[in-house]
Amino acid sequence: METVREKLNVSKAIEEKLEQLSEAVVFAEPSDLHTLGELHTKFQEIGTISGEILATKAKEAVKAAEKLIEKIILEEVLDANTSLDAIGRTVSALQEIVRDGKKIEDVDFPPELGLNGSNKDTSVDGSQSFLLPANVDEEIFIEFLSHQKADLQEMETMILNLENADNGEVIRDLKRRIHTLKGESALMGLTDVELLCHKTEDFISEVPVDQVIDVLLTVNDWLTSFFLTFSDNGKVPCPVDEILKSLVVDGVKLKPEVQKEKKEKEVKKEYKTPDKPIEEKEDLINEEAIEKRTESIQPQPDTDEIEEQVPIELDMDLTVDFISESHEHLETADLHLLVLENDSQNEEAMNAVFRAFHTIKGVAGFLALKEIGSLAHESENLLDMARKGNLILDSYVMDIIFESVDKIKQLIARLSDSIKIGKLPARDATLPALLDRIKAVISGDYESMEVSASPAQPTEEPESVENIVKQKTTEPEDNEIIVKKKQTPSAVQKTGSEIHQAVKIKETLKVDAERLDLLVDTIGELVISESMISQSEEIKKIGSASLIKQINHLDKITRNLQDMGTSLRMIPIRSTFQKMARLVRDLSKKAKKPIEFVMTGEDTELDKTVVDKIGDPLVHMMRNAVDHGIEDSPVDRQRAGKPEKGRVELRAFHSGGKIFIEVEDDGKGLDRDAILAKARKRGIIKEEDVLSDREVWSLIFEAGFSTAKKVTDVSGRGVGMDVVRKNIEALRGKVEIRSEKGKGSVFTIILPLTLAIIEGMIVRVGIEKYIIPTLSVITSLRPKPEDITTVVNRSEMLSFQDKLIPLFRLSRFFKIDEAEQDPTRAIIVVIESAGQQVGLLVDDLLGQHQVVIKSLSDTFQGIEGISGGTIMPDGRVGLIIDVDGLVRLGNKEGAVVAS
Amino acid sequence: MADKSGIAVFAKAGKYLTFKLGTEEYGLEILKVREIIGLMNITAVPRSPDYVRGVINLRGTIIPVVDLRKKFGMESTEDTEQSCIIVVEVTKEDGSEAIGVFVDAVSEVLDIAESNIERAPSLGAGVNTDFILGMAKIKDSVKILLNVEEVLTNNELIEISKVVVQSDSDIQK
Repeated sequence: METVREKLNVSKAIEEKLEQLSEAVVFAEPSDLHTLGELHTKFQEIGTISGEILATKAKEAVKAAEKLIEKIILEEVLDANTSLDAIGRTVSALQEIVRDGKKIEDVDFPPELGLNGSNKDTSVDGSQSFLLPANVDEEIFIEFLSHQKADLQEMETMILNLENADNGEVIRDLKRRIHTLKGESALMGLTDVELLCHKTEDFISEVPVDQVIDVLLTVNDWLTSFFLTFSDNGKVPCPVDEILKSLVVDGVKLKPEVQKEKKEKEVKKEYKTPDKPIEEKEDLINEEAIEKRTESIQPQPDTDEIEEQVPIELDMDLTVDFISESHEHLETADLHLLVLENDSQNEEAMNAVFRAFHTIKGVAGFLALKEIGSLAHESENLLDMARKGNLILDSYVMDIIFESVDKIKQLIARLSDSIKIGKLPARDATLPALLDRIKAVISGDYESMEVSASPAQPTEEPESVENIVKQKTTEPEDNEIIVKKKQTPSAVQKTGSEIHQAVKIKETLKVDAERLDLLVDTIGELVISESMISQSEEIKKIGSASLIKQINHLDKITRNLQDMGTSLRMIPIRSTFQKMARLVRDLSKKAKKPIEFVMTGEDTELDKTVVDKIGDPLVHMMRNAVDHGIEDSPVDRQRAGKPEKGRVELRAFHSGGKIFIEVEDDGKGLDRDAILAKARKRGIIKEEDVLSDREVWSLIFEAGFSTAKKVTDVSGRGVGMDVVRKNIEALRGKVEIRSEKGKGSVFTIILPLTLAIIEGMIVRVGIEKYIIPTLSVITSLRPKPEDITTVVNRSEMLSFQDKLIPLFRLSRFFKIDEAEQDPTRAIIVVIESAGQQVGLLVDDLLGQHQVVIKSLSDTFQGIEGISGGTIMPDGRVGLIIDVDGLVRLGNKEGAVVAS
Repeated sequence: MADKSGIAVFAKAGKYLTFKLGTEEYGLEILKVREIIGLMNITAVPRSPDYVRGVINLRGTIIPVVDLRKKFGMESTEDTEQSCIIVVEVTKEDGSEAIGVFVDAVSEVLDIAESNIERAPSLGAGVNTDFILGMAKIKDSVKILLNVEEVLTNNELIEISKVVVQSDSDIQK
């Protein structure tokens, strides 16, 4: 058995060759011997490398094509052009197999090749013919394989649980798993698995539970060994039909493999119309016909059937799972749709979107969520057409797909609400209209829809409208004229890397977040205990070299463990960024500003809590960038010498132990004068105040501060910026702004690497020690007497960088008696909170430390100026200063405290 | 636990941990006691009520320590070798919390029979008896059985802490 990787490589190579062929054939002339010679060589090459990748029949076709070219060259054919045409069709047929993952039986080879007329697949000879459809992403396939092992193990446990009496739940779960596997394997092109799963599903529903266990175990074993073959170390399992034989439903044996073609049709049909008996004659109906039939069976919005769309009894666990999974799927769909919008030929993105809809359809169908199911189904059909090259994804179609994603999101949100309140969701009023539009696109009736559905768009000349009206009234066949058919699927050049490593199957497991936190906490304890031991005086007294060596070793291990512990909670920020991509697209459409959106650093890892909470502030910042940052019209931009398309960039990166998230736009920039004028008007600053840029920018974080000339429905300048600041501060981060009028602005969020650990400066006041988060510290200095000014002998001010800033004594806030009273013998730490700088008088600096934050008991919740505690290296509790709280406190009672 | 009418819930018979505050002897239900630890470094928490000694590191968890002398309005004394912290488990609405109780000395664990327990007598207007479960007479001495939740409840502490902070700033003004 060859490894997966080799097979993928070969199938990729074949695909590439076919693509070159398809191009060459188009230009080939019967008289052009050179090109014909090249074609011949290409076919030969495919024949040589294909090995067992191609089914026998496909290989035969390749050979036959080779011969046909020979004949053309030797002028042995009657009509060279027809023959060339046949070669062309052979190439597309092969492409359909290799690239689109079509089954060999579904592909028609031109009769000119002189192949046997029967579509019998001769490759069925016990050896596994493995062909990964090239349109399936390799990573996705590996991912798929990765979780099979664990899934199958769980399935086995479930099967064994069936022996227990109360097994309704288990059966349902099992069915769902098999169903999911069926769907996934269908996408991966593993038809054997798909078939087996399908039959197993039927089997479970029709045979009493106690009789299925043995058979299910056999199925499970087969699947396990089947998947093992891909990871290089498994034996080839027996052909799937042997297993299928054991799946006897009501005494009817499944048909042998020779009739595979027919069976495949049945599978499709049975799957979609489970209640209809199979009729032999329908085997001849082609795929399209079946799909059309299926459509007609879909619940029509206005029939009575819709009344039952709400499942009377939802399986809570499954539904909740479904809701959370769907979110992921929809986000993936969103992201890939954005890719598709720019590059409608991107197969990878197309397939990703298709998969998302397909999975949702499958599970929704299983949970009897008809609204979601039917919408996902229709969208899937639509995408399938596009995937097969029968439909061009223009902006109207894209909008419909986006709308479908949104609608499914809505439906799922309502489902989740209704679960919470325990009531069934109401019917969605706008769904039927959307379904109709999708169906219209599928049936090719959509250009007319486009005009009628979007009257706001500039209308074309009256004649064309008339035409459309005419077309609408004419025979349905005429509609095909306006269906945008893609003539030839244009070649998509794969850029995948050529050098591959062996398949590595990643194993992941889901862990309860609470346990993980406990582990991280415990590691924190270990680190402290370890440092207490390694720094202990007694150990040093012993002075044994070997003991010290061992302690050093322990120290190293502990540090490693600490690093690992911190990384456990880290996840990439990708999901949040993906949402932003979608947001920018919508905003740019709404504001009618063309925008180029660039994301970098989606893989930057952040603490999970941060990733979850950063979304809200980012939404505000993106809105600001699009709505206010970018100029109102492309004309304005041109006038300013900038490209018409605005550019918004979202970046994430690590630097110096911190995480930076930046939102940059190349728009107008912040208007210093407008902000100042507004601030003066609102009395935030005085008329004569002179502010640095930095101080001016920080004004926009004031609540309700907006300089927008008109407030749009999306945002007013600065509205929401106070929310941004609050959210970021809650995450122990800060926001910085750089802006140049006319050039654009950069908003930078700076966050600590994790929430559990902060970098802190340890200060001493009297006998007490406190920790000031380093992120808030600007500098520390020993003041000269002339730096300090007293106001009415009470409040103290410090001259710092040519400005006067308030000076607070920590000892007075915290009533510490033994503190140094003479500022010139003490240290001033300049801290910043919400753009305001203050000096904090402490006795001494004791250095910097990474500390693990612990919450203080609820007893101390109301205490201002302290945000939490930590265990210091000496085992004592250290208190962490809440800089914002302290500054608030200082502003409130500064005069009192300084008295 | 006291009900709304202010009549203390009567103490149950069972094992009690007794400790000393000055000359008085008190008892805590043994089921509420998690452990007893000797004197250790206590970090003072600024701007907290004066009866809160501060916080300690109990194997990685930060717990507050309440000075029972201060809480009862008794005079402070120097810490001695015998001073110790009784860690008690206090049940609250949202789970339970460990709180350290700083006492002069721990005496013993007593098995108190129901016949030995009496209701707390009315002690006049100045003294709130809600926190007393009952009085136990053992031989010649009297042990005051404490309702630890009542003494330490979160709500009360917060109320008091607010009052204290408030009055502090009032005084300064």
